Amino acid sequence: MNTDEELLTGALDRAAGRVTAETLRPLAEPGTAPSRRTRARRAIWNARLAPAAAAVAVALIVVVALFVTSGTHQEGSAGQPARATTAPGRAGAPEYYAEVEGSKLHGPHGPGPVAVVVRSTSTGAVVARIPTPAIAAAPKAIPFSVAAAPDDRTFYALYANWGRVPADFWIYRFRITSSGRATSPAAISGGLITGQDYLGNVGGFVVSPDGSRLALAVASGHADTEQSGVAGEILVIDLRTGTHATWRGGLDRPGQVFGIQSLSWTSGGEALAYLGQWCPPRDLIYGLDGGFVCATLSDQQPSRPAGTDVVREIRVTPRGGTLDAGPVLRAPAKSTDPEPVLVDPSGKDLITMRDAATSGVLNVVKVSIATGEVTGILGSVPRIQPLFNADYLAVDRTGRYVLVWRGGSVTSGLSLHGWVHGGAYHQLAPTLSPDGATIQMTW
Amino acid sequence: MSFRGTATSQPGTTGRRDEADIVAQFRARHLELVRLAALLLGDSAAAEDVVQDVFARVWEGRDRLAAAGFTAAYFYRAVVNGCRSVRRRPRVPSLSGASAEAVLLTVPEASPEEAVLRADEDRLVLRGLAALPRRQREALVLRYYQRFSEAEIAEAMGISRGTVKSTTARGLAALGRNLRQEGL
Repeated sequence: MNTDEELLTGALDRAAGRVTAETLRPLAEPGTAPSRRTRARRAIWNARLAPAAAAVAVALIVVVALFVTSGTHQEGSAGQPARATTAPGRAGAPEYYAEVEGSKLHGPHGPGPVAVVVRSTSTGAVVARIPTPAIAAAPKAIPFSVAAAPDDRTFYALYANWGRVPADFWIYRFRITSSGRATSPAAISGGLITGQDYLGNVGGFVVSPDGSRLALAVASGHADTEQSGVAGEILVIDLRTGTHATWRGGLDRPGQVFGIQSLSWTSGGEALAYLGQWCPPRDLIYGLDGGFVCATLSDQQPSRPAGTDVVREIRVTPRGGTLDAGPVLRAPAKSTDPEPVLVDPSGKDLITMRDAATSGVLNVVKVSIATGEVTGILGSVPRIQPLFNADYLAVDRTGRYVLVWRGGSVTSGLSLHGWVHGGAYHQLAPTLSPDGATIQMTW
Repeated sequence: MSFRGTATSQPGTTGRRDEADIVAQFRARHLELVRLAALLLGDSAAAEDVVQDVFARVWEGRDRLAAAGFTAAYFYRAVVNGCRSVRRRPRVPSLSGASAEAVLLTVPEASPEEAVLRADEDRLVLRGLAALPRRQREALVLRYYQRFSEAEIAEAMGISRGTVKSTTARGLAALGRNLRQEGL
């Protein structure tokens, strides 16, 4: 691609990115009266009609750059976000959630069977169990992460050749059809990611709001098992072309490893927020669940967070860049438990967990990026003490439905596994045992 | 044809599920189609209207589409055609270059300096694109925004692959000349 093509691609992507799902009118089926907003806008349009050819000629000079910010267009953004890409009849929480489920996750001989499973949000029933694809170069590949596209029907699964260092990842796509069947997983263009020295560092795996890109947290570059060199990176795959853009470096600290988790997109797909963590190499935990985790461990005792967290943002461009190129959303501070932080689709708040006033309860909250104040409580969940500092949040496109997963309790072994909305917590079925657990989940 | 989301119906196997799936596929592409239309038209409100009109046709003709062996390529072709119809009706308002610049400068970026530079660069690129003949502009938007292959562009524009190749090449060359004139 030459410079002109790059300039054109960038300008088109940025211009298109200013049309967001939140500002779209929902599609109306025939027979539905157009909204008042539509009528008002059409009236304004008619008033602006210009003489034919001359007007078009002039307008063509500038229109491509202008389309997103007409005053009438802004009117709709104050209401409820348009769930423009939802399947027919769907309202509220996403219809499905997808999980990587496995057994014997922490045993000395490696994991037991691990699979991608799609379940019904309302019943917890298995909608589809996705067969692990046969990968010639990785006969022992297992799924690590699954990501959901905004249509609630398309999913991406990441498979890794377990036990290999450096490791490789393969990304496949599958879809739930209207009849409830899953298509066979198909490798995506650009879905091979090689040279991963840190197999468990898949702390974020998320599809952009328009479904065109896939972001994941990785750590590459080392051919041995030495942990001291772990340095997290963010990789964005263009799902149309298979091209990669990488954000790396800029946040190194002497004597510390750096990892990334909790990736999340803003609603327009212009930016990615991430939680970065520094800690001494001895405090780095990696395994199947939780991605990059800094924590102190002792046998059968609750873990304690270690290291320092920061929440930052990167602007997503085709060229990639350094991890420190964007603004700081939450200043560096000593890591606390629990740790996951997502950006609300609005880009104005962070979504995280905080201790509630009631003992033994955690609130899933929205926190203003500007002020640090709690702006809303999405729901309250039981505060279990996890054996590992492994927590996971996944937010739907609206920012109102948040999946919550917290690793197995040190006492019961059971995970916290549900979702919050409107102040309520919904336990997801089935209740999983210590030997059959959710590794990662999304919607 | 490799439009994301491929045919879900085959002739002779249609039914209510297939029809519903067509509607679901359209809804899943709503934002993408509006963005495409907005780039072709230069106005997001008009783009939403075009896509809504296409959706209404898809809704009303879903049984026929299902029976005919629907592919998602239909959506893109319908939206491109819808945009052409709008352009034939002069609905696009005349706006000054100064206001265009003002709008672009509101695009948030990492720093004020970068925002100014990027917005200025984008304005010149988009101005150069808008100055191209309609067919070249469509081909470039489908290629460099939609990232379509030649076959996909041909399907969406209703022209041959050979014409896509020549149109894209000529459009890119003309855009390059426009950009050189703008000092890029």
